[in-house]
Amino acid sequence: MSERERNLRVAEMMCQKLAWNGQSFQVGSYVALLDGKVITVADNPDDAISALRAIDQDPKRGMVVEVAPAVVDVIR
Amino acid sequence: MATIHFPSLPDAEVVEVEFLKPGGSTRSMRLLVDSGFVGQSCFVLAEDAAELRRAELPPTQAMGALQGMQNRAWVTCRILALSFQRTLIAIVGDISSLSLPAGVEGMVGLRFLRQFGRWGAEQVGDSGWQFFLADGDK
Repeated sequence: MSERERNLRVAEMMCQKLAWNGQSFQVGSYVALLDGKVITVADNPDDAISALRAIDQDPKRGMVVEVAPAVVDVIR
Repeated sequence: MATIHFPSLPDAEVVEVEFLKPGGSTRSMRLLVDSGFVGQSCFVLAEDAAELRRAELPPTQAMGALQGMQNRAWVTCRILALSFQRTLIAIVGDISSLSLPAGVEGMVGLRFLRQFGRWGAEQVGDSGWQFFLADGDK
């Protein structure tokens, strides 16, 4: 499983169950993930991204998830 | 209340948004305004906008002019005249199906517009139109 796939798996659980690995998450919070591990939980995306980039500067690695139910984007 | 105006195209409203690249330089884009574009994402941008990505987030399901799973990125945008700067969600991918007007590089949707206190279009002169964004301060 790739780094991205590990992050996606955690992100999906986090947004569905509002919990992962014994940690709970509030809707509207921003969670930075790297290698499938939670790096930080922040109340805005900038803080989550900063925490992620302090550990790994590659913008292709890691993921920042907005904890929220899955929403379909409609582009008319 | 600060307000910025953007001359309308003959058949579309557009805004000019500046994006900050992770390295610190900037890129300005003219983007189509579509309040019917709704969901979690604020922008739809072409694949070459991947250079703006500060971080990835899970793909989203899209319906309408774009269909299927779409990759997304956190991008930082600003409009200096409004002292506006936010990190927001962009769909980044193949936008050839959107048939955008010449010189328009993507779209902004309702979630972007609602970052502002007021937004809309107004007629200027006899036949011209302009789109405006205003901050929320009274």
